[in-house]
Amino acid sequence: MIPKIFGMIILSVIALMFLFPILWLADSAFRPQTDVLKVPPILIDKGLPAMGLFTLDSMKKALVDWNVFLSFINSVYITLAGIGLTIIICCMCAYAFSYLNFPLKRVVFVVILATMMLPMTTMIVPYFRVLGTLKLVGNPLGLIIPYAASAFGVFLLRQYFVKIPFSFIESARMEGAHDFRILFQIIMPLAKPAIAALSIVQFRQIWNDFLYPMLVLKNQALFTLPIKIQFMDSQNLNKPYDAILATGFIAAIIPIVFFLIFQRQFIEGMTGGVKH
Amino acid sequence: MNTKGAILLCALLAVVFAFTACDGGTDGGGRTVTMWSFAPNNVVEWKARQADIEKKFNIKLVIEEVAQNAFFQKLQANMTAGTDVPDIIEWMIENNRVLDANPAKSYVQPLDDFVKSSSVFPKVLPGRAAWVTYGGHTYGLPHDVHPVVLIYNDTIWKSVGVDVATLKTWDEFFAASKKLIAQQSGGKPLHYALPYAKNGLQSSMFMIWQQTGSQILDASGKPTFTDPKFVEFAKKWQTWVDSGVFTDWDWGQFGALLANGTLCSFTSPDWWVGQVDTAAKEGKYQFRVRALPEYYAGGPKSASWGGSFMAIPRGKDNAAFLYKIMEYMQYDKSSIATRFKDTGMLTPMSEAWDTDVFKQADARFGGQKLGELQISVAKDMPKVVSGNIFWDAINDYTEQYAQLNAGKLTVEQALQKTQEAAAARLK
Amino acid sequence: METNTGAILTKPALTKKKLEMVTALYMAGPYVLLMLVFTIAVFVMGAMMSLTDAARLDPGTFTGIQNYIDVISNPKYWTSVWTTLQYTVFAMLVQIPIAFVLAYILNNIKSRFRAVLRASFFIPVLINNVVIALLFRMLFSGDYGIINWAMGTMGLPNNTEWVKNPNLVIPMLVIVSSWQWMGFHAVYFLANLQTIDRSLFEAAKLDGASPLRVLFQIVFPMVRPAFTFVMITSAIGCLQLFDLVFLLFPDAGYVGGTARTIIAYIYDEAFSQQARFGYASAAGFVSFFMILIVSLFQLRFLGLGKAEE
Repeated sequence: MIPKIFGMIILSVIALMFLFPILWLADSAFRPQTDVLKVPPILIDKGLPAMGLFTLDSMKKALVDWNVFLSFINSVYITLAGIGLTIIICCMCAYAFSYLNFPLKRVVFVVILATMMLPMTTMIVPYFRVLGTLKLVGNPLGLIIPYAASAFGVFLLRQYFVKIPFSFIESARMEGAHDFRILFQIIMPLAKPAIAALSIVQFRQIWNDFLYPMLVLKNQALFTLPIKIQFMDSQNLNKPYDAILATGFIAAIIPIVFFLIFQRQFIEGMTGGVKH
Repeated sequence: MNTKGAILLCALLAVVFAFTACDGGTDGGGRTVTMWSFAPNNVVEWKARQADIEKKFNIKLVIEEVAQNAFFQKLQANMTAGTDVPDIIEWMIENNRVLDANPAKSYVQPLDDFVKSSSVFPKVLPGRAAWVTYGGHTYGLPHDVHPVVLIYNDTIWKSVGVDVATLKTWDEFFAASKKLIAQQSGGKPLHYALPYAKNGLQSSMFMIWQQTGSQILDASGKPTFTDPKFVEFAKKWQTWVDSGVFTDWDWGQFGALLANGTLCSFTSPDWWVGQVDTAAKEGKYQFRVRALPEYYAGGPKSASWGGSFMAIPRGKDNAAFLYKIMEYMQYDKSSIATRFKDTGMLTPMSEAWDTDVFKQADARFGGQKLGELQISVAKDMPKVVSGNIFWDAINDYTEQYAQLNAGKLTVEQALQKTQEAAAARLK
Repeated sequence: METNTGAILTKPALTKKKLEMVTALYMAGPYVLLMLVFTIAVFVMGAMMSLTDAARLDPGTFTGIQNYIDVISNPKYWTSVWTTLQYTVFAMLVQIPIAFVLAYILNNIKSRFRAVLRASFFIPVLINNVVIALLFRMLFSGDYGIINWAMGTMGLPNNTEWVKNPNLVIPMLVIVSSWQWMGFHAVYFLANLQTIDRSLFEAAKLDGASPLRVLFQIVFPMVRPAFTFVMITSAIGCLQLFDLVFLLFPDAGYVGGTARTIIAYIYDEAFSQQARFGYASAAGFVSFFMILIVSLFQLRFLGLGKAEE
């Protein structure tokens, strides 16, 4: 068997390879434009003194001159609203499939699961047309509402809900509570791990989404961070590499920070298995 | 007065009303006119003149800045839905996608009637108006003229024994460039003669192509990539590329490359001249400007690149009135000097250029009069035949060019494939 | 007495069932409605559009299956299919085995250090496509990229145009998407490997089984569901690749067409000058069914992954 230390070294090297672009981004986000694209790289060229050449100018240029702060707010708003709506709608749906009986229950559930496999990106053209008919183009709701239709969310929550002892619901019903109350006051607090996992999955997807915001959000004032970065990158006349990298750093650091704090939940959530 | 007189008076009044209704007059009755613009630079001028425009036409002008990469889709979406369609759009000439040789398929209205009866429009340079004329219809009013000049690092060029000012043709220029790239470090030249992203008929190739007199579309809008003149140019261009004198056209690094001496010359429209500012300020190198070398003896010494135009979306019934506003915004005498001073852009009317602001010495070029040079070359700017598939056809060539540059296709093969791909778009 | 109790018992039961159905309607209704709108309605709209020659502002006239014929007979479309297939196969061949090996090694490492490594692998998954494309375009830049600089210092050729060379398009896409997703697959495999009871390994060791036998006879069968899941989901994802291609190769020729994936082709047709919405919808349907068939084929061939599905 390969000695453990050997494995650890290989893995560490590989881990550094994975982290290198991020570290470069973190470094470049705080450098002035002239230093960013220097070859040889400034850290190697100037050595340790280069650590002292950091500046907040790029950040300021991005946040103020290029209105990245507004895009940040947009990203936050759309992400939070998207997560919130997803939780509400998917919890309700998962409740129905966990504790209620109705005709065609199995069929509908299978259909919902099946939608997870559909390659819906091929349908962007009619999708966009449907959004237009619903007057949701140019409107953040045009993003938030479709985000809430997460089959993965229903699947994940139902898996968790059915593990909750039915006696809880029975006794609540006997006390005269109707199902909505049971859902919000009993089930959801109990299902916190699953809800957390779903929130994290949705957070990652919504915060980072590019194609749909690009097609839906047409006003600069509504741009989310990814669209804003792409917009700045397509500026031929005045491409602000420093502001672009600074904005990229902001867009990247938020999920990373959340991840480092909630590592376990992240991984459990994204790998679809919630253990308890 | 008697009956006859009364009838005459009524008829006279009717005629007067008819005329004012016909030409829209200049009174908007206080209504709101919305305009979309993609160019923050232009908007600076509009905002500065907004009060004046609003007063002259008695309107409220609402200017909405729309991002370049969202403009066409937003217009498409709004026009399809029929809501919030702007009265005027200010959009870019390249890849605009809104014009169509068939007025029924164009997103914007043909302005033929208005330009014919205008006293101002005939003064616009025909070379400029050609970019927004599809199928014989004029669809827009160009904002600028963007003449291209050659800017070069005189210090470095002279250090390898070349005085760029004396070169007459591009052949001479590229022959002289070989001296420039002789100095190498780590297997790569220290200095490059021109920038070019090796992406087909774009940037430098696009500008120099205009001087050849060859077209890629004929008058009916059909592609002509296999036209012998164009083939000859493409072949010649490839030999220039293969000689290794081009470096990448990197939008973000441009100024830095000029400042550190890597890039020693470039063909520049007026809106790109500012890239030398950093280098000129540092003072390490002396930069000079000149007209483009000729492609063939006696050929045009300039080209144009980029620019914007104003147009009226289809379906607006007060087009005559909107046209007046557009014409005023684009061509009124009051704007000429400020446009050049603040943005470096020239109004596309030669008679407008007889103002002092164009005759000033430019310190960046050792006192040369950039404005005068730009005016003199703008006057004989070559005309390019544009049409429905123009910009897409250029993309088709870009696609084949990558294979060509990698050595997988010959020039003729690449052009043949481009021709087929472009022609397929006409189906 | 039977009649009496009978009357009392039947009535409430009926109402209760109906009440349950109504509640279910309210509970599941919003989700199902959204699902119907954003799948069924999209299909219907797409089908309608694909049967017309809708383009630009023109709603178009009915042209029947002409669009479908045009798509199937268009070599540019099949080139995009071929590009996407090449990318998918290579990406999966690179990502999945390496991810598994990483997970396997990681599984044997002490918990604390493992968490650090696991986090490092996972972080790329959290970055959005725009930033990733930006980073890689800058790092792999022909003249100013660090990669070329590093290669130069090691004596290797230092002027490769990584993002402009048609021959390097697929390798670049594989590199970038592997960087982005390999950590995710590895963590997924790791989570799966960790469910394998340690005692099985001990027992195998006592039996004198070689590490290879342990791998094949114990580990593989237990991670098979995970493998299937990863293969199916990454295939679906790879076949629909668009963001990276659009962002890594911003020049309109997609590097000589070699980087044009299926979705990129559809997008191009829909948003070029011709803006052929009808044609693009038809191309969408053709692609939809092809990708769906590939997924179903995988499901059948690899066996159902999760017990649930």
